[in-house]
Amino acid sequence: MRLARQNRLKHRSPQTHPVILFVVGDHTFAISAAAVIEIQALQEMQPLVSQGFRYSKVHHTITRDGRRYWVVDANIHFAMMPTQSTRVLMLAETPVAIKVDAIVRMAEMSKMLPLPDSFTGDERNWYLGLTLMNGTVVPVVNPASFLSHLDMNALEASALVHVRPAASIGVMA
Amino acid sequence: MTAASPESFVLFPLGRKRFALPAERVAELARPDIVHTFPSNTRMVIGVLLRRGIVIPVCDVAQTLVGKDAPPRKFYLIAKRKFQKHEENAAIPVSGDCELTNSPLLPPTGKLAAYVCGLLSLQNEIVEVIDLEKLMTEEAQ
Repeated sequence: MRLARQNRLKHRSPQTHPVILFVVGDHTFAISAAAVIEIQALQEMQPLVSQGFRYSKVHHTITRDGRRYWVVDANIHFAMMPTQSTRVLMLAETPVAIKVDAIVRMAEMSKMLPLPDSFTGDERNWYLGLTLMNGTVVPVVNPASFLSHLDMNALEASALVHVRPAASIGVMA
Repeated sequence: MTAASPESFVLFPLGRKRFALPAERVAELARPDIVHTFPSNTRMVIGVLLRRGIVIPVCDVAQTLVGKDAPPRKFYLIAKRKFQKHEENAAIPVSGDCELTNSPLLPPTGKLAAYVCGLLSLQNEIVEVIDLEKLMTEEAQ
């Protein structure tokens, strides 16, 4: 009886969580696979028309099923030097996409460790925690950190301001 | 006025100069290890060590204590940091072997940084005792 219970425990698979590993510059990051709906190439991106309404870390948009996604440059978001981006991760919960250098692979995250309290800067918002992948510490990014609702409202407002003059001319004509 | 009774301190070198931490705040001296880095913007916190499956933040205080010419750091002094509800180990890179000493803690005199909580008068040197929390908090601000 006791032996059977031990075997049952032995064969129980540990709780894991699928994540996507991606690279920006020299750093590897993890993001919950559930937070990403699609990975696209950069060709799908459209540049923001006016320099004037470029929001510091958003220079492009991408459209999927008629919905506009704001493309956040991960280098700028994480205050890193520019690198060569090749992929865009489109997020599930918000109209935000992240421009990254490359996708490494899918992986199973067995445990997420809290970010130590010694970290007191923006990284507390950037990361949900840390995980270990093949003996390396990898930060697990917080999908909600890339653009706040305030940021998105500002972007929407900028886009409206940009569109308004052309629309006004049409009405006057 | 009576002299303060001796207390235990861990002396750690940063180049030619030595500093001290109260021994009760030091957990261990660790050998060189890989510092795992990721983007962050907390000053002095340069990454983390992975020791026995535990993540330990690396707080490099050398530049603040000895300036830009801080020597290469070889070992890590694992010190306990106090937070509101708990303590957390932090790895302080140091440039050489550390030493345990018993000495009375003298009050800081003259123009010293706010993070110096006292002085130790040893044979040929005066050693500043560091309040790690003040040092890290001041730097964070």
